[in-house]
Amino acid sequence: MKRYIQKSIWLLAVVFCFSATMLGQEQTVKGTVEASDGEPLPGVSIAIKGTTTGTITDIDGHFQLQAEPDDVLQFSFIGFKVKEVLVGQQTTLDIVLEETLVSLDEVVAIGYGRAKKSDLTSSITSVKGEEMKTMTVGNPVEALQGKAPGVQVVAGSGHPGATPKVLIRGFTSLNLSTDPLYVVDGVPMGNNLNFLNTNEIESMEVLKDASASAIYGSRASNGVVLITTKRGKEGKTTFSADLSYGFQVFDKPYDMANATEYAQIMNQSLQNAGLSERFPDPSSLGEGTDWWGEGVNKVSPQRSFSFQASGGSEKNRYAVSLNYYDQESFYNSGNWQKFTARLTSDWDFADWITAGVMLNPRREAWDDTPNWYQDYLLIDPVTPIYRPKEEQAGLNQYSIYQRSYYTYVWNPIARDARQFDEAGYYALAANVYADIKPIKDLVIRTQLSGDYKFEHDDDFEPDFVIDGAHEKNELNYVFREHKFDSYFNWTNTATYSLEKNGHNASIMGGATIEKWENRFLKGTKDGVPNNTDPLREIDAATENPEIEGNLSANSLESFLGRISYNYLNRYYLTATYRVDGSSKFLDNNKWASFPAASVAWRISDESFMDGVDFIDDLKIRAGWGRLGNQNLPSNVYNSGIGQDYYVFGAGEGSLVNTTYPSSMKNEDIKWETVEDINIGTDFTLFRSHVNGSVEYYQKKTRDMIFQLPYPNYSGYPDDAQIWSNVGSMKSEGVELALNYNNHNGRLKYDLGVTFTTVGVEATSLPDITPVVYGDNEYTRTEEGEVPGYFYGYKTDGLFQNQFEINSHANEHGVLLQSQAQPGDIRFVDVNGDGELNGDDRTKIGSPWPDFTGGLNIRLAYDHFDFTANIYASVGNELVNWLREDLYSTQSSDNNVVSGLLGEAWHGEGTSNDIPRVSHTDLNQNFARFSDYFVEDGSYMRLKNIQLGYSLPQNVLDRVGLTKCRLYVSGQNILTVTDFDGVDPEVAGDEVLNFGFSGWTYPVLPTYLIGANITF
Amino acid sequence: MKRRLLSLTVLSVTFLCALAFTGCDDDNDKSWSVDSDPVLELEGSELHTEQGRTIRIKGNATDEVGIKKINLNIDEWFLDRDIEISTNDSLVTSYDLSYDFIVPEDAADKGHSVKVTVYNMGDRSVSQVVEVFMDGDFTDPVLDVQNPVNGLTLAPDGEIPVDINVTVSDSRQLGYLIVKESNISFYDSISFMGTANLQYEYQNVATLPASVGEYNFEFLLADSAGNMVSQSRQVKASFDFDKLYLADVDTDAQLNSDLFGVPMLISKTAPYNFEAKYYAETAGAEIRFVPQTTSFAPHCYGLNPDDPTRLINDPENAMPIVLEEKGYYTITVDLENLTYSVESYIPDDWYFEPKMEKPDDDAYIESEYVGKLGLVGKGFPEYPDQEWATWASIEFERDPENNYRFYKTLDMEGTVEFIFQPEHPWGWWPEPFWRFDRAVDPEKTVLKGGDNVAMTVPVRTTYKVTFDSHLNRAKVVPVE
Repeated sequence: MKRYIQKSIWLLAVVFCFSATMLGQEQTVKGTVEASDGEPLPGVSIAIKGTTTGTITDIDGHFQLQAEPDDVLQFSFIGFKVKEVLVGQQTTLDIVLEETLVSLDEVVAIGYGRAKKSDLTSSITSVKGEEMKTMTVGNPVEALQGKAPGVQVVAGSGHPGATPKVLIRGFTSLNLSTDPLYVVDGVPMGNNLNFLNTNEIESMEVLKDASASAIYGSRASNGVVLITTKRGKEGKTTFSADLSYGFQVFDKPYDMANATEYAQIMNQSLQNAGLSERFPDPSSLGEGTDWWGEGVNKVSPQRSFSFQASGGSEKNRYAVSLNYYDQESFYNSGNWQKFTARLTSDWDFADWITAGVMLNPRREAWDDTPNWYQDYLLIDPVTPIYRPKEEQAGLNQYSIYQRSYYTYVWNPIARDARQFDEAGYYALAANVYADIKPIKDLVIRTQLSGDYKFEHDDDFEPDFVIDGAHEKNELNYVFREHKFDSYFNWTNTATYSLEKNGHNASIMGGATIEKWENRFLKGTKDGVPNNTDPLREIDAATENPEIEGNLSANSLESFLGRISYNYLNRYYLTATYRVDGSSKFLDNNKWASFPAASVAWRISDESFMDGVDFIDDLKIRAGWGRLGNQNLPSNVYNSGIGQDYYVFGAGEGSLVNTTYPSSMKNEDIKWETVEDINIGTDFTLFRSHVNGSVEYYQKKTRDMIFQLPYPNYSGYPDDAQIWSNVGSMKSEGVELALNYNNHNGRLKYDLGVTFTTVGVEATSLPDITPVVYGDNEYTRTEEGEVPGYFYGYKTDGLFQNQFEINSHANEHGVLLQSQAQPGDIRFVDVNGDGELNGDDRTKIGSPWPDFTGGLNIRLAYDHFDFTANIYASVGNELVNWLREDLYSTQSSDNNVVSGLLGEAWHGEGTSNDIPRVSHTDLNQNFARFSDYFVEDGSYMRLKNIQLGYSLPQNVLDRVGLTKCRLYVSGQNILTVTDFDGVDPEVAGDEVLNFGFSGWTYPVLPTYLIGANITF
Repeated sequence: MKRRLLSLTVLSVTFLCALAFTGCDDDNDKSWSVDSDPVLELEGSELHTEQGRTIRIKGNATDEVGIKKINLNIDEWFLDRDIEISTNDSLVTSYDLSYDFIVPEDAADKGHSVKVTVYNMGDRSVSQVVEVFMDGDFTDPVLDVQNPVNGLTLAPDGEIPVDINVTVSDSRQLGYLIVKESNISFYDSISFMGTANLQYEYQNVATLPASVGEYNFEFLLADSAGNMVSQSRQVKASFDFDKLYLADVDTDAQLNSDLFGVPMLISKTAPYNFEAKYYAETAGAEIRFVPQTTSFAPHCYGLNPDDPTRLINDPENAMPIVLEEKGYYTITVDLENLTYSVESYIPDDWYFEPKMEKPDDDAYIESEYVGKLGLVGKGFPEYPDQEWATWASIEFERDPENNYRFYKTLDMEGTVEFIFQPEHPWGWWPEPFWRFDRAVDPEKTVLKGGDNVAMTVPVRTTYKVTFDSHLNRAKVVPVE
């Protein structure tokens, strides 16, 4: 009863934060705990089963606690099997703990089922929820970074609510999405896991090769991530709470010129361009306005709170979790918050039937976070924030700001003040299932799932006039959009298992139907009588009503099956087959099949390995499979009609509103198909102190989908295109995962390394477009090369004098850069034809790393624990567009970095990198895309470092807790890189524009304190 | 960095291996034994040029073994260029030198020496010097044909006198002027050699026969250094004009003071028949029609004072057609039968609308934003940032009563170039835009096509730009 009271108190305490209470004690039992080699084990947890009472061993392995004769003591220690001992009449207990063989009996999720990790024949990486929750992140995928070999996670942006880019073993498509399929508790849930909290996750399995993921058929070509959420377990109700509070730090990324220096730089730049100086007395301007200091907060807080309760009886188990997370922006406007709840309940109604239900209501809301922090850096520092007092009279509150005197950068503080975009959604995911066992060894499972999401977006743009010609909105404007997305899934499977004479087999067959519907309605209107909050409604506006709305839907019907067989847990064979029928394709290709097969051989169980003692377990495996990618729009089999104005008629004709065929249907369009082979080995060595895997994979894509133009003779307009299956590509690489765990006295440690290489090559492209360009021809893809490589001019430093310019000519004296002046960039005549033109562009870098890797460290010493996760991406280049914004004054009066006059070329030998400052750029130093902008993008980042302290058992006993751990952590607090852009963790929307770094919202250092409490 | 280190290591090992296996056979160490000097023959040892002009040094170099390189050197002009010619694997024994070099703008008015040195594979060399003098004449003479204007159409009522007025000039010394028309065997020439004339006014009269025909007057002017320019003028004797213009001004001066657009080109619908679409900015607007653009003479069509239901071709007496109301009109004229019609109408075709509701929404600005229509180009001293920048577009004032009409009064000076383009805060180029049927003196605007205006305004002038997107017409007239 006392314990229930304590639980209740703690329950209240968690809600209202912390308080404490005291408890009593019983009879004395003492003894020692040691390992099988006789070494005493300090820090072993000893608990009376079913209670929160317990203790831990001291430095010599001794322990002492109060217990009753019918109590059962549980001895647990990381790396050792849990041991239970009935106290009885014993007052002295000497316990020997046996070391565990790591993870071999662990059960992991596979598609439409679960399997022992030791029985896997394909490439699946499993990451436990406990490992992931060491990081406080908005999106759980971020916590995967560096922990799973073959998984490249690129944050791309530190913007609150941003979705990281995930590539599993590179990519297999140039034009379609490369996002993996996320399946939560058996239900595909799109490509964004923002709605999940790491505390809700039991485990995350990444299915990397086709033999693992082919069971998901036409959506599995980019890999599959299976997420299993926590469910209730038999036992008394346990409560736990995870709390963290932290803050992000946004230091000014570049030291920009103050007003005096700005004026000096501009004067020099104008002078170099042959123009008149603008500022007669720069020093009179002083420091000017510190825009960053005035408009950007140095820190932004974030909070995370999670509460779980679970337990149950033999017949009924339940779990509840409530999770809240919020993050503020660095501006006056902008924030992101999410609340999720998850309620699960499972019932064993009878021996032959088990059923369960899950409800997952969730809410996300955000005020649009400004994404123009660069404006605080680029606006001139001479301009004050506000207009002079006397000019403010009669202006509305959004017009009292000063327009930049010299730049066309809009006043960023004024922009921040008129941000009213609020958006969010309410959603409910739910599923029910029943497992029926009509006969022994046969399980029939039916699962019905749905996800319904209601999204809203409200925006208001007030009227303002900061500059009559340039910075204004004369008519205020109201916008509202509602979206409703629904998803429905019904999955039925039957699994029959057989074990006889060493033969173990399992046969699964099933069918699924899925349907997605997306509908939206949005309206806008102008001319609200004033800008006050109550009037920010469409009905209050008076002019220019516009409305849009549409519905799209697609569906998928699938049949699937799997046979798993092994003999003596030594020889394995697994085969899967899936048939998908998609509404996205017409009759010719509506159905497609996705077979896969894999084999494995546990060599360590063979008799010839008997003498090899250091190998505990060794398995080799190989797999093949076929996958699809159907991530193309729902209506590509339709022809499209475009609209434009053209001049028709005799004489000068007249302007006519016309329609024209903009795209043509392709009735033969079908999936992109990926064929994948995987060879690997899993091993456990040295009495389980070492385990890991090494794998080689190769993925070949054919029938890649391109939007091709029509030949001119077809008569279709230039921009009419047709979706077509043409082209192929290949990716291959090696993965390594290696873990080492051991203890040295009271120090326990667990070290893990992951390593992945990805080599990607376009093997064939359409005849009509043998070269594919991306992003203004800044990237190029051609046969035999890495897709999307940077394509531009090579440079050879700066011209130091006129001799060098005059010598940079062809053999007939024609200057290659006739407009160049000393201090300008020297571009290389790559093809040696004596001209500098577009034909001299060449490969100047690749955005794809040679390898990525992670180092994960876990240490424990007495009550202290320490975690560090390091992630590295090595060998890629990045385009740093800021090399123009920060160092160039051509055609721009934007502010630039402090010290530019000294850094930029200002005389022979002063610089061979940064060109002279000038308001003109006749040499096209910055207009030509060249390797001037390309930098080594390699980096190594300390993703997480955490130090925790668990309260000792005697203290816990006194306050009635099972566990209480306090921690401090830092995320992304150290990055080692030569890259000079804002952040080396750069992504892109798609393969063909990857690796371009501009003013992206960087991944910022976060400092947190937190507590994990169980009672 | 790591990759670079790895690459360096691999390169170093490869290089060491290559050295080990190839040893002294490395071609780079190969030495040549040559007993003779190379031979250099330049085409002339003197060049006459001027500052900023390209000179060409030509010649031929030969060597029995191979020419290694040719060096051109003149330190005061920052030239020290090696032209690499032969390699150990590829020997060139004869090389035609042809090397261009732009004389610096600040080169002194004196003789300059360019040293040309040829090296053979044995590193034996010979040098020659090209003397470069700054006394060349490369400036074309200036030929300004005032009369006849190009495209002049004259009615062949009788023999037609054609006035010829030409002004010629040259910076150093005029050579000769030829004026000819082959159909009427008109030929005249004047030589200025030995006269030291820098400018001359030529005047003459040619006579065309009293019949329909087309004539081509050719003008050829040369200076004493042989620089030549030529022009031609098409003159037509006909009653059916190719083009007809609507003039809503009263004087020849007003016809000529515009930058372009006055008078306004109208459409030809059939021989002798034209149709004008016109917007009367005020009630009572007066219009007449002229086939020439710079004068109401020799032809001007207006109302016959004796019979206002008909037209008359008479610059002195033709009365203007008066448009009673403000608004759009269709006016047809038949110059053969001297009839006309006037009808007002209200256009209902598409008109430009900006799309700029979300000025703070980057995604919207990127994909949908179309700012207000304005002038984008250069040559506007009041708008120094307007250097073909759409983010600094000079916004039109839109006629509050007429969605098709746009106005802007502003100064122009120097080389003036522009189009009509919607503003975009990021400097992008949203459609639609309007350009022109030709760069100089355009007569109509072209939606999503055409050329940029490119004209010269020698003296800063305040102009009013008027654009009518329904008529596809623009005019730029000075503001008093």
